[in-house]
This record gives sequence, structure tokens and C-alpha cells, in this order.
Amino acid sequence: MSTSGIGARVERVEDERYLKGLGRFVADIQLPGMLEASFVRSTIAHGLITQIQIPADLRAQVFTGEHLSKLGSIGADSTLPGFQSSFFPAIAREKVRYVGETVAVCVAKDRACAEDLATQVAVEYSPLPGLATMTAAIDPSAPLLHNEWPSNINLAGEIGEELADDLAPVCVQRNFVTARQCMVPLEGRGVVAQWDEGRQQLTVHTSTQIPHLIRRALAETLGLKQRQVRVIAPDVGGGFGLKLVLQPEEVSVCWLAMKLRRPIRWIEDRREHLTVGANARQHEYRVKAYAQTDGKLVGIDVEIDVDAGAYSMWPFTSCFEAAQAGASFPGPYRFDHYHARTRTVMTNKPPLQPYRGVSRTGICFALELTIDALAREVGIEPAELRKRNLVNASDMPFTNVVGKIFDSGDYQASVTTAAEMIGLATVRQAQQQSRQDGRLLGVGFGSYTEQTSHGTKVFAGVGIPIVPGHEQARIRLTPDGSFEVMTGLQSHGQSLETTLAQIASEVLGAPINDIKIIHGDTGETPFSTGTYASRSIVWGGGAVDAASRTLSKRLKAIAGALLNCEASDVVLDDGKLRSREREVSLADLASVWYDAPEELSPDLTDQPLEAVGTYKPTSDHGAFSYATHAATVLVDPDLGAVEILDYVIADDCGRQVNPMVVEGQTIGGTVQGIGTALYEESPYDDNAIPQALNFAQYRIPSALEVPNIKLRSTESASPRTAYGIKGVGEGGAVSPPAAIINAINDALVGYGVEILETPATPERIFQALQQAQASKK
Amino acid sequence: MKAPEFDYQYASSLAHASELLSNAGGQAKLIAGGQSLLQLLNQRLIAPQLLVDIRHIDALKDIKEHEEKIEIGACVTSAALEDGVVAGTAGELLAHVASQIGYRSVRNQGTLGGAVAFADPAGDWPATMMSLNAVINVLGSGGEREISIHEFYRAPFVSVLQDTEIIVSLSIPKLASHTKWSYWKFSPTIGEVTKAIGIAIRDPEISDHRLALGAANGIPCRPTGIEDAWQAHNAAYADRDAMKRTIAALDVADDDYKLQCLTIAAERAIAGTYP
Repeated sequence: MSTSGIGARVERVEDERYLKGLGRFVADIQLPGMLEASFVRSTIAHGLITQIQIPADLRAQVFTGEHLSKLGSIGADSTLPGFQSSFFPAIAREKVRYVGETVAVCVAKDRACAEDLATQVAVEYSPLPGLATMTAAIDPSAPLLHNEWPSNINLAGEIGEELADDLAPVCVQRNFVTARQCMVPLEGRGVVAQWDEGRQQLTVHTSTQIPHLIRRALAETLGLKQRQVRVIAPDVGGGFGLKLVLQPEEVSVCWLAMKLRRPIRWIEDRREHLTVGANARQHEYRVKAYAQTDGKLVGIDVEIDVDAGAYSMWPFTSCFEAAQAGASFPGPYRFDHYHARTRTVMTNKPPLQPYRGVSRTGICFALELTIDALAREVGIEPAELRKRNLVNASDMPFTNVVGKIFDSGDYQASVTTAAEMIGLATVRQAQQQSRQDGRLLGVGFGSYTEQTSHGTKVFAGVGIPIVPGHEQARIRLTPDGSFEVMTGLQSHGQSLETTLAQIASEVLGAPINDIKIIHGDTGETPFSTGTYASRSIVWGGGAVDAASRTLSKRLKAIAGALLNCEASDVVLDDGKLRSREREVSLADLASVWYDAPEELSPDLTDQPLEAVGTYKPTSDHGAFSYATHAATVLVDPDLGAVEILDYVIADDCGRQVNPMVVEGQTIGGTVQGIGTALYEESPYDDNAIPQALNFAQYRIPSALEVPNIKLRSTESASPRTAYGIKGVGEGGAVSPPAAIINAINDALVGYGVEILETPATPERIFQALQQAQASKK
Repeated sequence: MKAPEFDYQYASSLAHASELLSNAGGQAKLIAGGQSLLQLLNQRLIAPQLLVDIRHIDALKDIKEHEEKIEIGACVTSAALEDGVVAGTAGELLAHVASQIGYRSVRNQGTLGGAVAFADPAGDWPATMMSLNAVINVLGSGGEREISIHEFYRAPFVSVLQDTEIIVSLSIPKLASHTKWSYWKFSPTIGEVTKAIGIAIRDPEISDHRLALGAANGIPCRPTGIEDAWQAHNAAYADRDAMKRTIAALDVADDDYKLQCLTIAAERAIAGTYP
């Protein structure tokens, strides 16, 4: 019983410090004697390093791959059969494989001086052709990125068998392309490392989502025991998957701190981010969808290529995304025949990282545009076609064509709701009239189901070396009667300091202001694989719930003794423990246990006021959140310009711990998805030289471009998780490219034009219109 | 990235600023609002030995109204123009253009003279000054001179301004109160490099028809062919194909899309003067 428990719309605990500018990020950390690092980065995409000239007087401040040659690879091998292994050095040796790869690191008293040093390091290369596209990379004459491989294909996979051309009377076929992107968190990457020679202890402050995994990886790479490494993720200003890997800079900075016995700091700047952070979303799809004439889907045959860049990052590997894409492509739909071929292709670009939504943003785009193409082919309203093919609520739990078992929800209802919110009937009427300004009105939908909070077997199935088992949480009652909760997760915008406290509050009846969530520090928290895959509220929440229940039992036993009643008659409410007649505050109870134990019997004082809880959902399939996004757009056919008129979301993430936090997560993700749909792109020239290195060239949506996003939520509790909670961190970023570009294509239907590529820039739309016009002539 | 090392001097007067520039042997840059300069500096695309800060020189912030023209000090900010410090029809045009520049925080710092001197072809002010037939008043080591905006630009980011010269003010001929003007700009996102700018000014009483195009591949221009056709047509001129041919002949569009954007800019700016 708590007014700040599960479901309460309480303000965030974190807001106070963030809104006052009192957060403490890596760049806020100053240590005595600290030096700053600047990296010399490769200016070519592919080539052999023939010489690195370092002025003699700088040799104590500049370090190359040769200095780090005793360190092993910082990359990860996939456990999937056929995976080609590669060596990923923290600083390049012999060969560079993408523009921005680290070639040397310079240290000086401040960043500007370190950059001055970097300009004095002369690197000579013997260039090889840069592989800018997957097509170039798989050409038999292409140079090999990794000499020992048979080709530049990292891994190929297949699900099912090829479908027969005559499987069904209708077949639509489309090819899709999604652009390479940067994640652009508000706070870039950054790391400060300090080596304590006396204690033989490395303390690392790094902007990461996975402090415990980074501890493990740093220890292994640097040849230390894990007990010698403490990783602290202080306030982290957004992760999105960028901070979900072992970073080459993390390793180099730690090595420098140990070598130089001085604290070392490196802070990524925006230019570095737009260069080496171009690591996400680049896929190609060739889709064939088979259907009956009434639009009922029969089967899908898809080929998916993922551009993984130059290396396989630890721990999620280069092949995680293609494996997930193949397994998730069927989306929320019901059909019986499926065949997928996937390839992970290496190119001379920064190594692939899993960006919010991971492969789902691309597959939702490809699948949902295919659905609209099918709707046009059979002459059925796209929203209606979705409803015909989405899994029925009455069929839950539903095993789909690849054996994923959906847990709960009414997918069709989300389409109905979104259609109503966007005013589908009104839009169709308005489309009958032409507008005075000549712009074209379109409406589009994007539905998805998102496997969240999935467990051991699913991760083992996509071949990554780190597989989550059970999540742990620790809770303690402090001597003044407040609570501390320790989690190995990391909150970098998810609001876990609020929502995990709400779960503890639900069990312990204390207000959330008396429950402090401690996270992001391997020295203080139990092991966790960290925050990713929309798992934290389900796994962490379940573990906090379990720990709180254990502690609650002990508190009730003590209260029973103090109140002279049965423990089972004690209720925790508003910071007090009540029997029918009397009550004792948590503070008084704690005071007795800690300060006057002689008043309690030994069977009460020998039970700790700390408890560890463990948790995993009852099914490794996890909990499936879902949504339908819908958008209306106006397209200016003279310019290809797109204005989003209205944007609505009908979503369901099970039981909501804090509806305001859910809204914030969903809207934030949707804004990133709008960027994917319309603006964001890291283009490369034919030699794999990146072309968008500042925010004039790499465009992200601002408040001025983002419409007022309207939300309507339902709560279909998951039968597999504590309180029926499902994950929600990523979903917002999945649907926008599908919904918006379907709307654009709906607007352009009279021109016979379809945009099949992200982002739908004005220039791309204009060119498509020109081509359509030319082909008509 | 961080800026390379440089010296910084605060100029207390126009004469002081001029002296600092003259003594720097071409290695100094003026800084006013710094909205473009600091980005270049921090990307190490420029490495001046000295920055001369002219932001606080009062003489550069004057606005003087003469009978035929308005003289606007070089360090008047876009925000001040947006807020209407210049009276009359030209002032209204300036206020509107200013309101379309990036964000208010950019406008609070960025100055008219700085933007004109920076010579960014996609900037709002160069094309606007061209439409207004502005004259640039310059102080150099050899004294003052006037340069017509039409002779000021040589190439993108290149003007005839010497290393030792300072833009003091811009003189703008007044517009009659019945003058119709229209500013049309296409940037898919705010703050992005603008794809096209069109400014049209129409004084029906003296049959003055002006059109300036910005964000072209090259310096901003006055497509006189379109101006003449518009004048001859003497009504809402909208012959898109003819406009496109005229712009194509000016060699200011490197590709079809740029040509299309500039054509639409011309068409919509002209249409905007017939409300």
C-alpha cells in the first residue's frame, strides 16, 4: 500500500538534479594530476600503416598500437556456426579499416594541447580500396578486410526453405534500403581512468550502460583480476546502444593510466562521434510477400543484408543484428510460410552497434511498407489489411511462424485505436479534394510487436558471448529507517531511480523519497549484464520486488515482536508498520535493531536487514510490447518537402509502473524514429570517406520539427513477468520510419511513386517523382 | 575539437580595431557574434594568430536614419533587427528575415556585418542585402570606402574585403510604404544548410521588380532575366519553365534539385508579393 507504488504518476527523483544542472557526468570529473587524451585517427578508410612518425621530444606523450601490442583483441566472437573471427586491436596495428579508427593516442595537460600533439604525428599509409557499400564488399575482386577470411561476408544464416513462386495468387516484391546512422546521445562517450599503484586498483569512470560487463572486459583485456577493477558509470546522458560495448578508447585510456600512473581522461567530441559513431541501422532487404486475393498473408520470403562495418564489437558481436532481423521479421502477423536469408557483410565503416530498437526499426520499415504495397495491390485499406493479418487477441499466447511465443495483447485493437486517433475516415475524405497550396495529404501506419525482456535462450540463440541468467538486486534498511536499493543495471534516461523505487515502495509501503536506488557502480552493486533490450524494468523490477519481499518478511517479524502481534498481521504503509491497534515507524524499528538489539530476541537480530533478490521472467521468450503508430503528412511535390501534420501512437507495454515515464520513453524514441524517417544519414563517398561530420550535414530533429505526439495506452499484463510489466525503452524508435514513409507513399500514390529508402529526404522524394515522370513519357 | 592557440584583443574603438588589424600582418580575424567563426576555429579549419573583438564598439551599433537611406551599424544583432530597431518597410523586411535565422540564441549573438563579411552563400543576410541594393561602408588602413553589395562577393566565403578592412555599417535605400516584399526560404530542418532563398520586392508605383536568390551554388544573385520578365508581365509572374531556364543559364545550380529549389524560390517569392 503506497501512493508512490506501481502505476503512480509521480515526478521523477532524477529531475531535481538534472533540471538544476547538478548531474555529475564523466566530463565533470576532475582528478588531481589528470591528463587528457586525444586520438590520432585514420584519415583513410582502408590501408596499411607504413610509418608513424613521432617527433623525438613527444615520445613520452604519444603511444601507438605497438605500445599496446601485448593486449588481446577487444572484439567478440559469435557462437553462431560459420562466424568469421577477426582481431580488433584497441589501437590499429599494421592496418586501418575505417576512417576514424584510432592510430595513436596523445596525452597532455588539457585537450587542446593533446590535439596540438596529434597534429604533429605523421602517419603514412599504403592505401587499399575503401569498401563503402555491401555491394562493393561482396564483389569477388574486393580486397579482404581481414586477410584470413574467404570473403568479406562475416556470417550467412538461413531460416526455413525457399518459398515456391506459386505459393499464393498474389505476390508483392520490394527492395528496401535503410541509411547508416549515428545515435547522437546528448552526452557523448567519455572515460576517466585512475590506477592506484599501492592498492593495485584501477578505477574507471565511463559513460556506459553496462558497468559490470565493462569491468569484466577491461580486466580480461588488461590482464587484471576483476576485483582489481571498479567501473563507475556516473550520470549518463543517453546510451541508446552506443554505450553498450567495450570501446577502444576505454581500453586505451585505462592502459595509459596504468602505464603513466596518472589519471587520464578522454571525452568524445561531436566530430568524433559523427565520424566513428556512424555505426547503426544500415540494412538492405529484398522482400517477397505472398497473399490471397483478400489480402490474407500466406508467406514471406526475405533476404536481409546488414552492413556491420569493420569489426565485431564486444559483447553483442557483428552478427547479432542480422540474426535478430531474420528471427523478428514476421513481426506481429500471422502466416504459415517463412524463409529468410541473412548476411552480415563487413565494410570499411565503423563497427556496427545495436541502436534503440536494434534491427526492428529496419524490419518494421521493410515489412510495413510491404504491407501497404500489398494493400494497394489487392485494393484494401491498409489499416484494414493489417487487422486481417495481425494475431488475434483470442489466440494469445500465440506461437508465430518462427516459434516466438507472444504472451498477451490485442494487436488489432491498436490499429483500430490509431485509425480513430488519426481520423482515418476524415483523411480519406480530405484526400478527395486538392489543396490550394498544391501539397499532397497522406496517411500511414506502422505496427510492431517487440520482444522485450527476453532471456537466456533468446540471447544464446543470437550467438553473443554474454547471456543473462538471473537478475539480482540488494536492498537494505538503513539505521534511520530509509532504504537503499543496489542494482547492477544502469539508468541513463530510463528513470530507474524513480521506477525501481516505485516497485520497492509498492512492497515496502515507504514513500519513494525514502528509497534510494544505487546503480552504475561495480563496487557497490550486485552483478548485472546491464541496461539494454528493454529489460531493466522487468528484470531489475522483478529482482527489487524479490529482495523487497524478503526484507519485508523480516521487518514484519520484528514489528510483530515490537507490537506484540503476529507478523502476518503487520501491514507496511506510509513508512510505518501497523498492527490492528498500534504502529511503529520504520525509523524506530531500525533504531531498535541497529542500536538496541538487546531488546530483540536473537532469532530476529541474526536475520540481516539486507536482502538479495533474484529474478527472471517465467519464459525466456520475454514479454511482447506492441503498438501501432500513425501519421499524416503533407508532401510538397515541387520540392519533395514533408511536413508531419499529426502523429499518434496506440501502444501497450503491459502494466505501467509510471505512466509519465512510459510517455517520456515513447515520445523520446519516436523523435529518434522521426530522425531515421526523414533526416538522419551518414553518407560515405566511393572510397568510404564519411561525408557528414557536423550537425549542418548530419541532421537530427529538433523541437521545431517534431509534432505534438499523441498517445493512448492500454495495459495488457504479461503473464510471464512480475506485475505483468513489459519493456518499453525501445519501442518508440521502431515504427516512425514505417508510419511516416507509408504516409508519404500514400500521398504520392497518384504519381505512381514509392519511397523505399530511409531517410525520405526532400531530394530523394523529388528524384523519385522525376523518375516516375520520366518513365511515363 | 578544441581551437588552436591564438591571442585575443579587445578593441576599445574603431581606430583601435583598425590598428590591431593593420599590425597583424594578415594573421588577425575580427570577432563579433562569433556564430560562424568559433565553429571554424574549434574545428581547426582556421588558425588566426589574433582575434580582435569588436563586439562592444558603440559606433558599430548605431542606426542612423537619413532621408533616402538607413545606415545600420555592422554589430547590430539579428535579434535587434528582429525586434524592430529599424523603422519603415525595409525594417519590417529585416525583422522578418532575422526571425527566420536559426534560433533566437543564434540571433542574440550573430551580427549583420559579421554575416555579410562571412559571405556564406546560404546565409540569410547576403541575399537580403542584395535585394535591398545595400552599400557596405568599410574602414581600412587607407581610410573609408563604399562598396556596393553587387560588387562585394567574389565566390562562396570570399569577398573583396581586405585583411585590414572592417565593415562599419550597411546603408540600405528606403522602401516606400506601399512596397510589397516576400521572403521565402527552404530548410527541411531549422539550422540546416538552407537549400534555397528567394526575396522579392515589388513597388508597383515605380514599377520596381526585384528578385534575389540565395543558397545557390555560388554567390547570391539577382536573376535580371526573371526580374525583366516579371516587370514586363507586370502581374503575378509564374512561368516556371522560363524561370528555370534563366536560372540554369546563370550557372548557379550544380544539379537538378538545386535548380528546382531555386526556381521554386523565385516563383514563390514573386507570388508572395501578391497577397
